[in-house]
Amino acid sequence: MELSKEIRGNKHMEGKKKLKSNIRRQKFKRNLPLHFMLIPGVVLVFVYNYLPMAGIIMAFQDFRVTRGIFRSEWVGLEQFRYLFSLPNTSQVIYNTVFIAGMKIILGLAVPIIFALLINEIRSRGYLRFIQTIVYLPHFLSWVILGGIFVTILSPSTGIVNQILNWMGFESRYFLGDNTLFPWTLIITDTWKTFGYSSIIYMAALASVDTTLYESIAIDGGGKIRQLIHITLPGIAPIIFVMAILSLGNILNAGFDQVFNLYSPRVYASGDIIDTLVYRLGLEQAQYSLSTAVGLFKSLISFVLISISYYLAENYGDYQIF
Amino acid sequence: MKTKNRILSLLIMAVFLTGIIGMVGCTPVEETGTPADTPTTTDDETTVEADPFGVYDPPITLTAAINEDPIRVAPEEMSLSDNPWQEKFNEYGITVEYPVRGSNQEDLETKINLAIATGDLPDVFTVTPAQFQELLEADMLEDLTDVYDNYLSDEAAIWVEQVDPELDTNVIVDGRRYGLIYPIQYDDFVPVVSIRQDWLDELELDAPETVEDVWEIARAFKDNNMDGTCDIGIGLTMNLFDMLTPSLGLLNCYGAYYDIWMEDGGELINSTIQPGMKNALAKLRSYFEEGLIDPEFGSKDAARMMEDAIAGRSGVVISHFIAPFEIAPGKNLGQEWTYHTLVPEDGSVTKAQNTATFTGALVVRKGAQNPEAAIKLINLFARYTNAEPSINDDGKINFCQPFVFGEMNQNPKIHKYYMQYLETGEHPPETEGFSVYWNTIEQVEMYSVDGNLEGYPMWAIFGPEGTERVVAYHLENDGYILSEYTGAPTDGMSRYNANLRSMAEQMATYIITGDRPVDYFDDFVEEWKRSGGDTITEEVNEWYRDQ
Repeated sequence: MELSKEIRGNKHMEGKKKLKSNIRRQKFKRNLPLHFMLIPGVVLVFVYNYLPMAGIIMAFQDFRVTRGIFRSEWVGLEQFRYLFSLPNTSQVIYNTVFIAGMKIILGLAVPIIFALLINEIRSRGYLRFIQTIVYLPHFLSWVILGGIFVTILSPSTGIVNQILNWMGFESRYFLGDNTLFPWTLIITDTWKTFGYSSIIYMAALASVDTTLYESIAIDGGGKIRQLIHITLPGIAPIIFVMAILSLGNILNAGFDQVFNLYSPRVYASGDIIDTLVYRLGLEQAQYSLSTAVGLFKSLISFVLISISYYLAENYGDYQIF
Repeated sequence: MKTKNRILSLLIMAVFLTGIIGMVGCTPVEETGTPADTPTTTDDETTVEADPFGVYDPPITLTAAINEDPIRVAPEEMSLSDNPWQEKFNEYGITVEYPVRGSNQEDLETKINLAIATGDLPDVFTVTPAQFQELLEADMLEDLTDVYDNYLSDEAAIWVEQVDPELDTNVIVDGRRYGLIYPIQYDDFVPVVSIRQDWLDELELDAPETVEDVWEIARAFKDNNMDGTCDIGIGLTMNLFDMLTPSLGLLNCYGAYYDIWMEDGGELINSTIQPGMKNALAKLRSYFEEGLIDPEFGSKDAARMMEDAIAGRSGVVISHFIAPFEIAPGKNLGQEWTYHTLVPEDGSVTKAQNTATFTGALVVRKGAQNPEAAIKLINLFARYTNAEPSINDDGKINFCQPFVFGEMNQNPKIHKYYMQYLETGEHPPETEGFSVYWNTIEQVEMYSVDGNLEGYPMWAIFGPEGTERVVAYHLENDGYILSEYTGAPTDGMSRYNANLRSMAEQMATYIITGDRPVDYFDDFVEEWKRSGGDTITEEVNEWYRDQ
């Protein structure tokens, strides 16, 4: 990044072209050991991330293990056509985008607010205590949490509904009601992840220059003004990065969670692409269909990441690369 | 996956009880077993003649695939290369090695897929219908016609020929045999109603005669809030059409069947979309409205349903013949349970739906050195399964076999013999005395004679009041219904079935819970036909015309 800035700085100085290439050569020489150190990583990424991409052609084949990639029959877009010919595909895509979208929004907002709040705590012991408590759910798998949530959300015996009853509300069937189910997914997921995701914002908050707070205090700015003018601009780059990265997950609504909590009764509102494909693939090893779905999801994510990166660069004046 | 595992674990339970069926294995310890003294009785020429029990000299090595899942019932010191079966094989000059191992059935399928892809197949292995088709098309299967005709012993033939000849046509292509179908046992798979006898006594109610009585008992238990804990009539599970679930048992009882093919005017029709299904669902809906069906079944699996029963929340459980194992914790808490048949209102017999379709086959790799060795192994199993190698000294069943071909449906037989013994005081004659019988009876009597609760589940299965009594009732009264379609899954099935299943489960749940009116069923039927159902029906009938 530094190099490119330097080059940009010299952009209009035609006469210094030669100097520029000299600098580049010198820099390359100086960084040669670093380039060598990169090689193992690049090779690993190439072998394990790029080479397997050739497998994408399976999405356009009727892949059979006995025939392998090279001899399986070509079917063009048949797998995609099949996926979109299913009567409930549009509903499933809507469910996926809705659940994943809400998870992304809450997954950004809640950790930021939490980090801002916890940043004001002065007692170190108390801070540690709170942090440990909120990190904990992150380390539990959905298989375990699924069982716990089925129990505590039960309309008859679950503690949540008992509290609701005590406050004068009716019992709700959170896991069996098509209007409540997506929100149950979203809120339980946010509960599970917000503590752990707040770590990165706390790190960003710690790096905000404290002298700025002193000067705004001298200028008479209160807590709210500090927040708007110092804290938020200070951690904005991190928020942008996190937002861009999470947009790639717009079609990942969380297979583990949904699979452990859903049932035929809430297929209408809770069935997501991954669970649908899981059920379709269950009958037989349908590698091609899974690949096609994977490709479809990757394409959408790629487009979204590109757009958000473009927006961030142009309007947020922020670059990752 | 949940379903698959559940059925699998039930199957393994069945294996544990009878010692037969399935492909099973034991502890994988890597060591080359020292070949036992091979009786060298034959000279070189005799192996050329087809001798079903011919000894290989020099000994041969046969590679095989194995499912290591039943490891839990294998004794610790046993390994795949050192166990009574391997010793028996060695006597006949065969050393079996297991280069392909799966940690469970699903994993084994994946491993075999992998072996297919790399071309590194073992000599003998088991395949799914899809794998069979692919291997056949790729010409990777050995033609077994000749070795089957020449080497199969008379004893083994009795076992192998248990398979429905119609099913056998799946592995016979142009008159040549490319595999051996696994016999499928389903006799045990009938609905069994477990009822809290202590509550029944407390309310001075009689044991149920028909399904109507079962509902009445559930109503009485719930209305009287038995033990202060009973608040559920009858529990269901979230996947209504899974095998051996209460919902499927009840539907069968009301004459509705899920996804089997029935003959109607020369055509095959699918049972899911028949009016009988609509009526049966409407029936369940009315009980749901009354509050007799657990309103939370939508988020419960079978394990949770059983927990409710053990916790005293329900006193009527509709499940299967293994129920006593699941109920045992309740027995330890002092609950008394009895087991009953699910009889339709008109007093006829519930036809329990079962699948006896082409689910798997034993095949030999094309180019295997000794294809006849696979048949010889079956001969050995037929001769020795009821003898030493199948049961170890400590009474555990030895599963270290590359595949298990055996006598089907031993549980009903054990029950029958035991009933005879209780009546006449005579055990079955020694010739029929299969070792599993003694093993089972020992555990049954652990409870009935010594009062040891550890033997309760076996007693409650095989004893006079046991669940096998219900199985016997179904056997005597033809209480089973099978699909008329016995072919391999068609293209349309592998394509559309999963989705059709989800649609059907959703529809059934909506109708039972009252989310949609009963007439929603008609919309479903149209949707079912449009979403591939018609295609499958066509394929199935095409197959049917060829039969």
